[in-house]
Formats: sequence, C-alpha cells, structure tokens
Amino acid sequence: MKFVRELLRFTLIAVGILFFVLPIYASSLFAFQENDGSFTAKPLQSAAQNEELMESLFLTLQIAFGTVVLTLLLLIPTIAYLHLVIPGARAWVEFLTLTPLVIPPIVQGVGFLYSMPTSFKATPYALIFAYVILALPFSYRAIDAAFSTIDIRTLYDASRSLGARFITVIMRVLIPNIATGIFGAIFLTIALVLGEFAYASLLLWDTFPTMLAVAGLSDASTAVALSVVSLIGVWILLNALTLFNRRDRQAVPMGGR
Amino acid sequence: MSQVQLRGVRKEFGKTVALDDFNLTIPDGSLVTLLGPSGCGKTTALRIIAGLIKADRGYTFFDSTEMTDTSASARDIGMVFQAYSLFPNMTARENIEFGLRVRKEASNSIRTKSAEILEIIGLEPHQDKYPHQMSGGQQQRVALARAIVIRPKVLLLDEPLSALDAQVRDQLRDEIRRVQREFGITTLFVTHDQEEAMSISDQVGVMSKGSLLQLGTPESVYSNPVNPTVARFIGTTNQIPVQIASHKAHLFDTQYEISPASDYSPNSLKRTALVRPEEIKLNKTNNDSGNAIISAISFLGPTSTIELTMPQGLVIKATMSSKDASMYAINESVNSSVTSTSLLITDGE
Amino acid sequence: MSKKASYIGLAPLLLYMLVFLGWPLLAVFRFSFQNTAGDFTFDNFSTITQGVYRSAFILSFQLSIASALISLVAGFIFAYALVTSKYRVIKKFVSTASGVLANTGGVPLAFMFIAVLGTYGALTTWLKGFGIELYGGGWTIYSFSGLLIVYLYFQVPLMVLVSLPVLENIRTEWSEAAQSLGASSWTYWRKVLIPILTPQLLGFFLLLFANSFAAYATAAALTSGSLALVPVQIASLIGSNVQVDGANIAMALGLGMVLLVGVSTMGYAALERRSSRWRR
Repeated sequence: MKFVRELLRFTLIAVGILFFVLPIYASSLFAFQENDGSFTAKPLQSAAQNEELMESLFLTLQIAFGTVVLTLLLLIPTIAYLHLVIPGARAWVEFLTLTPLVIPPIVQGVGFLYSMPTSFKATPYALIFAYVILALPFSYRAIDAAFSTIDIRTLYDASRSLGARFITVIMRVLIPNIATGIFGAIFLTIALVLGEFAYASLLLWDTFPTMLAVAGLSDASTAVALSVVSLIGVWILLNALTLFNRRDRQAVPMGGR
Repeated sequence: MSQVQLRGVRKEFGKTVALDDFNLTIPDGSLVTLLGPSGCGKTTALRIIAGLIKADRGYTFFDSTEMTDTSASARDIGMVFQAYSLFPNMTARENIEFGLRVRKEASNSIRTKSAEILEIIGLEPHQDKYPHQMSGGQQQRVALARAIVIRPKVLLLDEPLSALDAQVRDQLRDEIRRVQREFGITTLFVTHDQEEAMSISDQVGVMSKGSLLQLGTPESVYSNPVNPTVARFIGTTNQIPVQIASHKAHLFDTQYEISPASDYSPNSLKRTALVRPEEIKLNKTNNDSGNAIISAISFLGPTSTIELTMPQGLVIKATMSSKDASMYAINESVNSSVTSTSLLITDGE
Repeated sequence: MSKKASYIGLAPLLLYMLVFLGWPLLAVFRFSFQNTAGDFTFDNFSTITQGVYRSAFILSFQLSIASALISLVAGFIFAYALVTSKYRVIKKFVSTASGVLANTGGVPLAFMFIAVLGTYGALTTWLKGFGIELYGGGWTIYSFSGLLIVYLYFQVPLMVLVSLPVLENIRTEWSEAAQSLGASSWTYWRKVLIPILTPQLLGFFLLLFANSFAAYATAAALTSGSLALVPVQIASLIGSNVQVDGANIAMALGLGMVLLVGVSTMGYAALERRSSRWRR
C-alpha cells in the first residue's frame, strides 16, 4: 500500500513537471531547430539584426534602470525613516503599498492616460514613474524585510553609545545587510519591467514586450526564440534572487500578464 | 489492556542503527518508562509499537497477537505526542470525541464518555475552547484525555512533558500516573528526564545507543546499576580514583569488595569508583588529620550537600540530612568514608 | 518632533503614490461617471451591464473561475505530492521554477504556446502523427479553451507557490494522532486536513480568480483582441476612433474590474490573516 502511494506521488510530480517543461522544450525546438534536425541560432541573429526590436530592448533596459534608481531613491530613505522614527506606522504603510496590486495594470494605465498632462505623456520615460508604482508592493517588501532583520533601532542606539564609530557601523553593517534587500528589489523590478505590457501598449510606446508582440506577427521563430530566452533570463534573475535572499519569504512579482 | 512485547527488533535509518536486537516486555497494566538521551532509540521503539514505523527485523506482540504488520490505525492504541497533536479545527471536546466517532459509537455513549473524562481530567470549563486558546498544559491534558477515552489496549506517551513549564510538568506527571493507575492501561512512557522516569514508573528501562542497558524498578536501577554507564546516567555519582590489589579496592584507608557490576579492564592503569553522594559518610576529627577538607556547604531544605576537597585536588560531594550537615563548617578537616561494603569500579581517565 | 509631525518623513512616498496612483485612479472614477460632454451620468454603468460588455464580463468571469478552480485542485494536489515526498532537491527546484512560471505571462507565454499548440505547433504536429487532428473540429489555440490552457501555465505555479508553505506547516503530529486514534487517511483528510485548509483554500481561489481576471497581456498577445475579455475591451475602446464615448465606457469597465479584483484580493488577505492564528 505504501508502495502504491509512492508510485502515485511520483507519477503526479512527474506529470506536473512534464506539463511545464514541455512547452519550453517544444518551443525551443520550434525556434532553434531546422527542418533537417540541426540547431541554429538564426532566430536570435535575425532578432539582433531587427533594428526596431533592438531599439525597443534598449529602451526597455533604460526604463528598467530608471525605475530601479527611482525606486531605491524613494524607498530606502523612507523605509529607514519608518524603522527609526515611527516603527508603529509600518503596518499600515505596508498595507498601503499593496494597493497597486488591487488595481489591474490595465486600469491603472487607462487612468494614467487620462490624467497625466500631454507633455508628460510625450516621453516613453514617463513609464518609469508608472512602473515604480507597479513594482511597489514587491520592492517595498524586499527592502523592508532587509531592514527588519537588522533591527535598525538597536543598531542605532548601540552605535550612538560608541560615539564617533557611527559612520563605520553604517558602512560595515547597515549597508551590507540591506544589500540583500536592495538586490532583491532590483531583480524583482527588472523582471517586472522586462515583462510589462499593459501600460506600454496603452500609451503606445515601443518597449521590448510590445515590439515582441508585433514581431511575432511576422516572424514566428524569432518571437518564440526571444520568448524562450526571456523566460530563461527571468529564471536566472530569480535564482540570483534566491541566492541573495537566503531563506526569507520572497514576494513574486506579477507583471505583464 | 494488553501486555506488549518487542522481540528481536532492529531498525536502521540510513547508516545509523537506531535499535539492534531490542527486546522489551511491558506487563499488562503497568507503566514502563524508556529513559535515555536523545538518539538512544527510545522514541523509535515507541513508534514501532505504535505502528508508525516498521521495524527492519523483529516482532511486535500485543498479548499473543502478532502486530508486526498491522497498521497504526488498526492497533487500538492511544498516543500522546510532545506537542501540537491536537486538531486545531476542533474544540477540546471534539478532539476528545474524535476517536470515539471513528469507532462509530452511539452519540449518547460518546457524549457520556467525553463528559466523564473531561471531569476526571479537570477540563470541563475548557471543553469548548480551541487549542490555540489553551495553554500548553491544558492542551496536553486534552491530548491525554483523547488518547484514554477510547480505552486503548496500550497507551504510548512520547515525551509528553518536555515542552511544558516545570510546575505544569510536575502536576501533569502525577495526573498521568493517577489516570493510568485508575484505568489500569498498559503504558509506555518515553523521556530523557530521570526524575520523571523514577517518580511514576513501575519499571524503568535505561537505554543508550539502541540498546536496553537495564530494565527494572526505579529502586533497583538506582541502587543496583548493572554497569557504570547506567550508574552514571541515573542520579549523580562521584568519580573517585581507587587502587585495586588482591581483588579488593583501596579507598580512604579502607578495603572494599568489588561489585560484580564493575567493568574495569585488567590492563587499565587507572581505576575509578562510582560512589553516590548519599553513600559518603563524614566523621569529625578534632584536628587536621582528616582525609578531606570541606570547601562548600549547600543547604537544599531537608538535605544538604557538602563539597569536599581531597589532598590531590579531587572534589567530591556528600549528601546528608541538613541536621547532620549543621555539625560541620567550611574549611573543617574531616574523615570521609563510604557506607556500602562494595564499590562499583570502572576504568579511569 | 511630536508624534503627528514625525509622519512628515512619509511625505515623499505618500505624495508619490497620490500623484501616480491616486490621480489616475481618480481619473478613472471621474470619467466613468461622465459622458463625452462632461456631464454627470450613470449611463456608462448601465451600458456595461448590457450587450457586448455584459458578455465580456461573463466571459472574463467564466475564464477566471475555470482557471481558478482547475489551478486550485491541480496545484494543491501537485504541491501535496511534493511536500510529502522525500526528495528535498525536487521540492527546491519546483519551488523556484514555480516562482519563475507564476511570473511568466503575456507576450513570451503566448508565443511559446503558439509554438506548441498553434496551427503548426510542435504538439499539434506530433499528434497529427498519431492521427489526432487537434484543429480538425474547428478548435484553435485562440479560443476560450485554448486561452484557458495557457492561463493554467501561470496559475498553477502560483497555486503551488502559495500552497507549499501552507502544506509545510501541516504538523505530522496531526496525521499521526489521527492514525493512532484509528482513522483512515480518508477520514483524516475529510475531518481534519480539509477543514483546516478550507479558509486558506478559499482565499487562494480568490487570489487565483483576481489574478486571472486582471490578466491582460497574455490574452492580448495570443488572441490579438479577438477574444472579448474585459481588459481586452478596455484596451480596444481606448484605441478606437469609432466609439465616441469609448473612454467613458472603458473607465466604467475599469471601475468594475477594480471592484471585482479588489474585493477578491481583500477577501484573500482577510482569509489569510484569519488562518494565521493556527500557525505558531
């Protein structure tokens, strides 16, 4: 009887894994395999030669960079302040940062379109400001968690009693510790921006996801190839995240669905 | 109620041998405790009796019925775990009634029995509370009631008191013994706490590294340990270097018989005698001619412990009634001797 | 600094959220109650409860409930099988993989599935070799059921992801205690496990529902707007030049979405908090 259970368990797990590996495998074949069975990197090559696509990728990367910088600038001081001065407010601030989750990106995008001044909407970099909001639930939690583990209050008091060593403590202990949270926030944000579609398509900007959609209409192999590559890319990013995150509970970004 | 027997049981976990050729008989209606440090195999033995683990070799018997291949749910046992075993979605009463419902007893019978056990255990006012609303002690009481109400053949307790505060532990310990006696259930109790084992058991089985070293009444295990390992594990002992010559041990200018439970090897250079603190007797000297100097006196209520420093620097402890201890003072030179006629000897370091 | 004044430190964050979240949201709210002339009206809301828009809501509803239900059951069984297995490596692997897949969506996902189940997809062709014509009966990957299958690809991992920590908190003592009391596995599931998990399972259902309802990119990329779901409708209204009051209707639709998704997410959060009292 125990054996039957083990078998059942094994089958279930195997079927599950198969269901999810199959599409990746099949689409890899679709994209990278020639009719004669050999493998080629042609789809990626043609992607690299596709000017519009490459430009959109570059744009998306820039936007990602901008989003990351703005997020860190906004959140690190705020969260540090929160932990140091008004720790009691942490609960409802965290709750507040979860509100973007409740409003679907498409609705946010529509609202954005009809509220922001035209001059603002004239630049694709306006997306940065929107993406900071979209990433907020995840980036906030990542940084907040890091601050929680170091108990900044105790650290501050302890270092004050040591006098002038405060700066050293900041450099040696504070920064390295919240570095975990910072990296987490960075990776989550980048993953989100690379996949974000709703906002970008509504505001009619040619970011990587939107251009990929267009490319797919004409060149299936390239689109699929890039899709597989981006999937693996996100996987690498998230694995890097778990490496940094030890065993903290991590928030998973939901972007671009 | 049944007699429980484990015969020739062997259990391995990967490379570790948890039990090897393990034999145990728990007489019908008695409370046997398996006592030993973590990893000695006591919990493994209990779980094999419960049917939660299957032994690699050997047999389990309830009376004359072989249970080796029977599943846990068919064994008619009651089990109390260290913690967290109450079903969180049920109240105390519902938890207690669970086993009865599984056995498809009639509703009014269930209600009567659960009411009865709730009263015996003293949990009536808490019967409609959920586990997270109760203290650790109350939860374990409920767990005990739940295991007993079904009148199992065997009651198995896996370190049920280890997670509780000291005071609660003592109360519950006596409660367990009381209830066990009242219902006459064959019981196996597993613990690493000596005091628990000694105070409630009919028999204590001292275990180490997968073997049963000694099984006997608390008194016999304490006073007649079958080897120095047992002696060292139960109670406190002094380890005093001794000389052996012509089959006698020399200590404190006296000759002693050598206990047959001794296990020193003929080639060892040093020998140690294991002497209980209450076996050390002090005699006043009127000068400095004693063989030990009192270095500390601890008043513990009815008894006191006197710490003695020997000339070579060895420190030993003697226990006596506080009345006797009051005769002595610190830095006093005294003559110490051993009251028993034979010594338990083992190899020294 | 007084207690009240110390909150000034939160000003940057709060202001930012007010401008870039609050203001757009306000616009949605405002426009949904207006017509093209700018007058106050409830017309938009009555419009969305009829005809095309009503169908859109029904379709989105059906898709979300279906994907939520299937993912709830499949994801739970899969997670349960994982947790009770002895191989820690597989659990770790699947856990991180679930994180990736739950986040996968939109464009890459759509294309991958076209590559697998599209007209010339790998699986379609392979099945043809066995004589199975997927597209024989008029089915396409761009249909409702096709989209459902694609949605499962990020829904089931999400379920696995949220289920794993919950299942790991199930004390082995509970099943062992149940066994010792004579209960069969089935009785244990029925009387202990399922009742304990029900609030959280309900919460997960709501989470999956909200996740599916709010999803836009996948449907857009896969069906190019041919499947009339609510988010798709919103996008097409915004982009259309034909519908004069398209924006207003879109806003109303959006508000409807926020209501549905919002209530679902709140429900999930509330149920999560309620069941955390059992965890210590």
